[in-house]
Amino acid sequence: MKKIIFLFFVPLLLWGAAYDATLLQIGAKIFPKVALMEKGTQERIQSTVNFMIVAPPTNKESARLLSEMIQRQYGGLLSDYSLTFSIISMREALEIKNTHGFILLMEAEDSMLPLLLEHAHRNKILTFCFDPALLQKGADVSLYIGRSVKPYINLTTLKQVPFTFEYGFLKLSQPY
Amino acid sequence: MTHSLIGKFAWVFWLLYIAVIAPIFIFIQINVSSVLNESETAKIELVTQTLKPIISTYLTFDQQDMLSDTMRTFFQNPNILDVSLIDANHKVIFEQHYPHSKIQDTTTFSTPVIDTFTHKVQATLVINYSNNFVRDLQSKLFLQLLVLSLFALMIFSITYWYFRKQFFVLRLLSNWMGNYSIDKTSEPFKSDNSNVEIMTITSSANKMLESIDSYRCQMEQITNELENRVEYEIVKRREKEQLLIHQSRLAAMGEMIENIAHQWRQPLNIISLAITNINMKRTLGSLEDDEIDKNNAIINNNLAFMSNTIDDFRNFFNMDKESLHFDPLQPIQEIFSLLGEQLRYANITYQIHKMCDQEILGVINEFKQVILNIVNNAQDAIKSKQDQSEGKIEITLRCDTSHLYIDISDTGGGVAPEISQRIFEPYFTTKLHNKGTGIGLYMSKVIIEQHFEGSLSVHNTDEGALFTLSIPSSR
Repeated sequence: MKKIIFLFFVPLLLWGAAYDATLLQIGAKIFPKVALMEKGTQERIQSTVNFMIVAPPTNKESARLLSEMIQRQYGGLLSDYSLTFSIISMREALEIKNTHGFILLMEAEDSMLPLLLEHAHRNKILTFCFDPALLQKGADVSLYIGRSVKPYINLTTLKQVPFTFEYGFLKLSQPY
Repeated sequence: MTHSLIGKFAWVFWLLYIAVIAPIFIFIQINVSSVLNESETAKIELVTQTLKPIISTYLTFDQQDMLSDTMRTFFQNPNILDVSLIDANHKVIFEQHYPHSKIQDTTTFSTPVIDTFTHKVQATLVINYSNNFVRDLQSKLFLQLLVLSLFALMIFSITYWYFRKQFFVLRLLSNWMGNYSIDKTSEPFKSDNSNVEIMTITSSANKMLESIDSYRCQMEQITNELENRVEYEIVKRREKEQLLIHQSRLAAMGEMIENIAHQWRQPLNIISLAITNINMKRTLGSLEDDEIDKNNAIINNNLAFMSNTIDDFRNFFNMDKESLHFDPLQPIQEIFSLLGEQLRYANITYQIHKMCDQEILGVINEFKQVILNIVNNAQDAIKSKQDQSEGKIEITLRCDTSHLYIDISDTGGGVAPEISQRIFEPYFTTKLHNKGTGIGLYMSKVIIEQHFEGSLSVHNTDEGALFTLSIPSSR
């Protein structure tokens, strides 16, 4: 019961500036794997899987926490590749082209978000987020926390870019 | 084991059937079941390998419902009995049993589900499946083979019955041929069987027996002709033998007449002298009764001698053919008595040695004829020998347990080796100027071999020929 109440409040918590640790933990577990489930991204990997956690200064702490969780989860290795994470600002993100995913820890109303998403799509960089509102703005993958955790995918952008995910992932994902 | 054609057909049919069916059955039992088992295992492995990434993904996203749905897809294979998924801590994530009723023996297949990103074992997938379908297939195959065998048995029975019925006529034909006798004419074999093969066989059999009948008639005719011819030849041969015997006797008679002439010369001279003496004394008037009696006695004695000679001659040529047991010495002496004067005139001496006392069985005159022929030949041989003025004939009678042997040897120089094999042939002679007929020795050999059941042979000695008569002893 407590878990249900907790899960009920998670979206509310996500709406706030700070991200819940459980939510971050789930993201830390799932996002790197989802990146590798995308065919184009997987093909671009040479020796290192490189993720960028894009966060404004207000979410730097959550970004750091997420980074630590990913490090703990994978120990710097993801499917025989080195796994690296960097915490960057949005401006810095606009300059980065050679990365395999942006994990967005920002608000949907952020003015730089469209630029960042356009930059990401242009460079075929997957974008992950915890807020479904970001999905509405054009992010690729989000998380749905219900009775179970399910990924949300933005079919419009996936088709537009295009991104090609594995069958298993698509089957369990909720399309937006 | 039967030896009938139908029986062999049955053996061959079933042997062929077993030869075809048994390897198929064994092949299917061993190879196909093995292949099917391997195929089933490979199929399950393939499905497992296909579903494992999806299962891994669902495990990663903790999607229990979808995981269960995915796991249930295993049961689309009706041979899978149990599917379970156990995590690294041996906690059962998913477990389901499919209630198959007939599945008995199962095979367990387990494979780890590995996270492709972390290479950690997420869970272990355990599948229990059965290969009962292989057994079902084998059972079906066995059933089908059984049905096929029953069908084959039915076909065989019908075929067997049909051919037995069709071939029964062959048995009748066999009995008919078995009862056939070469001595009588048989009625042709009749059958209502309309099969071409059977009709051909019966027709051939009838033709064959017709041919046999025809040959039998021809053989009877030929046999009759041969019998007639043989009978005719026997008569002819008898006539020829009679002629030879007659010729031989005539030849012997001629020789005997010459002997008689020799025998009679001396008594005729004596009688002539006695008569001359009587006449001369009567003319002189000095004939007295004593002188007459004396000369009469001389004349009577010589006439008696001449009469005896005639008796001997007649005895020799009488036609008495009675076989008797006789001592061979007596006829030998009688022959020499006849030939005595002639031998003396030719300066030939003779000796008879009797070393045993056994009799032989036969016609005495025929025996005498043989001795006479051989002694005459010896006398001629001695006479024809230019470098000697006298000769010798020696006769030895010797015996063993079963035979009497008569050796007649002379000093006439012997038989030339090149003609020794021919001297017993008819009409073969070495005597010149028609003095020989060539039938004496031939008839002698015939008489000794056929009438006395003995043998006559000739060898050369240092001085002449040695004829040996071997005659079975009669007592």
